[in-house]
Amino acid sequence: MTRLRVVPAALAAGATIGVALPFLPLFQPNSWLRVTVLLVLIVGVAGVGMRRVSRSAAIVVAGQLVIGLVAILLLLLRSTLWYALPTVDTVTTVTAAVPAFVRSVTEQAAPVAATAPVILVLAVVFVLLAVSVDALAVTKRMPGAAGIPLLTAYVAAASNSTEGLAFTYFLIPAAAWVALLAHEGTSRLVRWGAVIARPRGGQVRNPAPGILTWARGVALIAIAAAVVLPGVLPHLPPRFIADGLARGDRGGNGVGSSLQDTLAVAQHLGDRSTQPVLRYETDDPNPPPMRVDVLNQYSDGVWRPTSGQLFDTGGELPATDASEAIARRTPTTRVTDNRMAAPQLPLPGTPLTIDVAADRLRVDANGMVKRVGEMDSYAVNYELVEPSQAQLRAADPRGSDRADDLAIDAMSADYVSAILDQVAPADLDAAEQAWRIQAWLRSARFTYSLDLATPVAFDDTGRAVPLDPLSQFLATRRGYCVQFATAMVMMARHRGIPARVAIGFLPGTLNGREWTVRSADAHAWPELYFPSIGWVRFEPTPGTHTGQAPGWTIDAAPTTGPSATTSAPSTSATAEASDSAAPAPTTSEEPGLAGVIADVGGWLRATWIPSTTILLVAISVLITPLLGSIRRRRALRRARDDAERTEVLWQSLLDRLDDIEVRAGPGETPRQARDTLTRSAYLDGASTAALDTVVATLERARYAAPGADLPDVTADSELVAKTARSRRRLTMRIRAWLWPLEGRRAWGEMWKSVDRRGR
Amino acid sequence: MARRSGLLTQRGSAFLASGVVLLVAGMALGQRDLTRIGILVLALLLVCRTLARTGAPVLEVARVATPARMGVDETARISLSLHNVGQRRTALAVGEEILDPSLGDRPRFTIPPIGLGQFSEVEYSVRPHVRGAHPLGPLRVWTRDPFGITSAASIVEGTGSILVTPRIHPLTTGRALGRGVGTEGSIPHQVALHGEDDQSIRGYREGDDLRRIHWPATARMGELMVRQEDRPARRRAVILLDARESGHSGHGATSSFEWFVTMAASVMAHTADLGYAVHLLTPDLTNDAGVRNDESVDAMLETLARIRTGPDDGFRAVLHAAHGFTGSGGLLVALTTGLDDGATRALSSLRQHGSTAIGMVHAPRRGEESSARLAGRTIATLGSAGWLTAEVSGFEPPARVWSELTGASLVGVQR
Repeated sequence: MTRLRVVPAALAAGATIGVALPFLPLFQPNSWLRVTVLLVLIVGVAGVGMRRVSRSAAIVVAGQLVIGLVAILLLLLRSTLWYALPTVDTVTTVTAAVPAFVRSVTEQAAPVAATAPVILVLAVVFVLLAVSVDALAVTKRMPGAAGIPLLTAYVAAASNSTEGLAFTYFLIPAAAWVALLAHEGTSRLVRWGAVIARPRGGQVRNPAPGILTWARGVALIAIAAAVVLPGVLPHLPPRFIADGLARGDRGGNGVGSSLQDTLAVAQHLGDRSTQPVLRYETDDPNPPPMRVDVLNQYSDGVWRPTSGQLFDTGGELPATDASEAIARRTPTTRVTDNRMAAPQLPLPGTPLTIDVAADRLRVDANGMVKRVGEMDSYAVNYELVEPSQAQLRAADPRGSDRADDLAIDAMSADYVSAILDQVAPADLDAAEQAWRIQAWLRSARFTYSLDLATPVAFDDTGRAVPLDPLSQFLATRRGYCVQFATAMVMMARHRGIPARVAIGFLPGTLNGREWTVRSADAHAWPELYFPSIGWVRFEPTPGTHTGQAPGWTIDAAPTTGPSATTSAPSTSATAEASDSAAPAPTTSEEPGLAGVIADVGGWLRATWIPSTTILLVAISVLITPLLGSIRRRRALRRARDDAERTEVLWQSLLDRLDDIEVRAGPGETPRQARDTLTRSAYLDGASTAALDTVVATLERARYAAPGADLPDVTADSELVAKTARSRRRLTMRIRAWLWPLEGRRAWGEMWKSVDRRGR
Repeated sequence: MARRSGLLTQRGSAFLASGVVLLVAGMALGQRDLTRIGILVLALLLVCRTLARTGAPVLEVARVATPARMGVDETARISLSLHNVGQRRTALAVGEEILDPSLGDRPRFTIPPIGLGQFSEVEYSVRPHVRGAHPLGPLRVWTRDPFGITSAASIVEGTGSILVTPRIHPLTTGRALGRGVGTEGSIPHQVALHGEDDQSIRGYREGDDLRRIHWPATARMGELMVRQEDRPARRRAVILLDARESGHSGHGATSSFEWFVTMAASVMAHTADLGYAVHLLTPDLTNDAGVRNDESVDAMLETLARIRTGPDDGFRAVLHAAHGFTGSGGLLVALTTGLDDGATRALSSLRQHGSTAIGMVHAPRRGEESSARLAGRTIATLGSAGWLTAEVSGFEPPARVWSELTGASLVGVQR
């Protein structure tokens, strides 16, 4: 049994299967997992069998590899075999599988369809992983090293899932790996000698169960810490550092964020960065989102801008489309700290004036105001139209010639129009349809989630049929602002309303008078065009993430989300997949000191329970030395005569020496104790003399006739303690200071008195 | 209690490094999964490090060997008892008894936790290949956690010892050693040995030799008293062992000195078996006289077990002391290295006429010409003085050397 090592082999297989599980969301459908688990188990059993045959690790590993590969042949490539022998067909299938796998992985966003080549490659990878884990952890008895292949696989899965893995995926491999460590360590301890010491008069007991219980406790603490702490610790935004480095290579503008100017609808959302991108003050009590750009070209699930061309209009800003009849506000916003990279310029509403040099402003084909060069701070006076519902109803955008803003997506056209017939019948007026579409999207039918749902449609063979991203969203009703905005834009276009996607930032967090916009406040929303009103912002993304929808976009407020403050975490308008070249909004500049302080403050607020706990523990540790000193002083005060005082000082000296692991033997007389202490504390001349004095005084206190002259030995005992401490390592001195025996005794006495009183 | 060395094992250090890297990388890259793994590793390390007892286990160790004295290649069981005299229960530990390599492999054992003031026992056996007083212990103890992250080594002071007596080869003697050319009676000195200690006094009976009258006792008692004479005569054998470092060659168990010790033990056992009163004279620096005289078999074995080579002037005292034992004749066995002329004369004069003296002189097989020449001269001088001599290199089987020496045993005739 010991040589076969069945238990560690099972644990190794469990750990390998555990790191295969996080790949489940990446490869769908999950039929590949069954094969993989089976293969991992086969490799494990093969290891047990091979260890029975041979002691040589090389032979065991070779045997496992051969058995694993044969199992792959039989399970996955049976159709290509000729009486269990590989044929040319087998070879071509295998060689074709690798490029097919690479193509699937690079071209498809997660989840990748688990086709036959994908399953084959996954099977080979996990067989190799299982063999290496088993070889290291079981055959070579190096479970610590087996953590490396496990870690590699786990990190591979983690780096490909945008939001990180759920901690549940972490539990199985972590528990299995820690169990491997404990099992190997325990068997090493027990195997150390063939002999186990037995208690006097008792029987030899196997210490393994005792240690394993201990190990289980330690493992539980460690795993619990690993589950809880990552949520509490402050993390930089993903790829903060990596992007910061990469940007230097591009030689571009070293400062500032930029918002990705394409949006992929099918991607999971990655960036949850809390880096500030913008700070501003405004006299607008209810500031609108800051718009950065608009996108109106949609194809293959990606939104793109019309063109990147900028026009120099000599500082002239595009005129408002709104007629005089429309109610409007004209607040002013002063941006104090703009970290966006040029040419993007976050602006609220329709800008009227911007207090910067005219030659630095540009306008693009969509009428968006852009800039050249640095623009750290600027004030913008803008117009915010607030059309009444009647005015919206009156404006009929249908029949518009804005072809770009009316193009519909052919892939999802059938799906969208089918839904649209139920949601917003064609005979309603345009405003009514827009209201209904928004209300439907904001209804409880839809779930806001940064992770997109897995595909739902399958063909006859059980393979997933990837829907186009918009249909996928409408079918699964799960997504974030990009999907909601896309759905609303497409549905509006189907009904002949010109529509486009605006990207920018939610108003951010109000702190005093200053609003702070962070990367995570990035947002996307639809804008619908109504003649004589202009582009009107709608808000189909549900509830708490975006705040209330604008008043004019609500028919009779049937299904609005709860009114929420804009300080709630909000969605990001951008997303990125691992292979996406364009980065999400990030900041390469180091955050300022104020930003760091604000971050720390925010972090403390967010984690006040753990922080308080840590603080309490720290305080209780720190007061231990104090308690010890109080206890000593009280004992000295309560001593009735010099003899008792000398006893107290002696006991205190012994305790303090005990802290630095200098101990007199049990039952030693003061003189014997003196000799032991002098020797083991490496006392020098002066301190030896001091200890002599202390002991002589103690002897007189104990044995001389009452009333003998007893000098005060406080200084002497202090000298002894100090000299003995100075002979010790720093760590021990610190420990002795932080956690002294006298303090521990004080804690114990307090506990006892509480305990007594409690009874 | 020796201070323990570093607490983290190689695995612990690796975990610390990788955990910190993972944690920092995870936080810097915003990858919570990396942070999670880093925290798992670090938490494991931290908990183990915290729980690893900071103080070494405070143990008292006692060893009982059965038997306490043993011959080479015999087995003794050592019972080791551990007493927890510390202030807390000990953690699970593994121990290794530090033994001389000649006692065999160092015994290793697992020590389950020992409660406060409790005892724990473990037994192991040793099978020594070399004679001597071998120390047992001290005990080295490692406290380890089951994850193999920390390991604290400490040494539990306190040693025991076992005494391993030299190997005794059965010797055979060609003829009775005490017998000279004539009958036993004709060598009275050899037979009727009356050491000072052996005396007792009895009343005069007719026929007693007048020379045996003990005059002081007679005066005190008022009647004639004689020294006791009718005890069974005991033959005496004196064994001299030369333990001078300079004369011997070789190291360890195969050195010529070990051969001498084995030979001395064998001769001692053999002559004791034959009924001799055996005296073993060995140099002893701890003694004022510089010589040690043992007469009981046990004491002689112990002396031979403990003896070590010493300085050059050690043998002079032995020669000097030997006069007192050989003056009245008896078997003399000298195990020496090459001696200078003065010492050789002193040695050769120890043999009394009519008694047997056997000299085994070590001549190194290889080595300096001078010591070989010295050995040759010593042998020649002893031989001419009527000794039975043999030159030994330290590799011969003792039994053969002895039987060759004594098989042709003829007093006064050189082989």
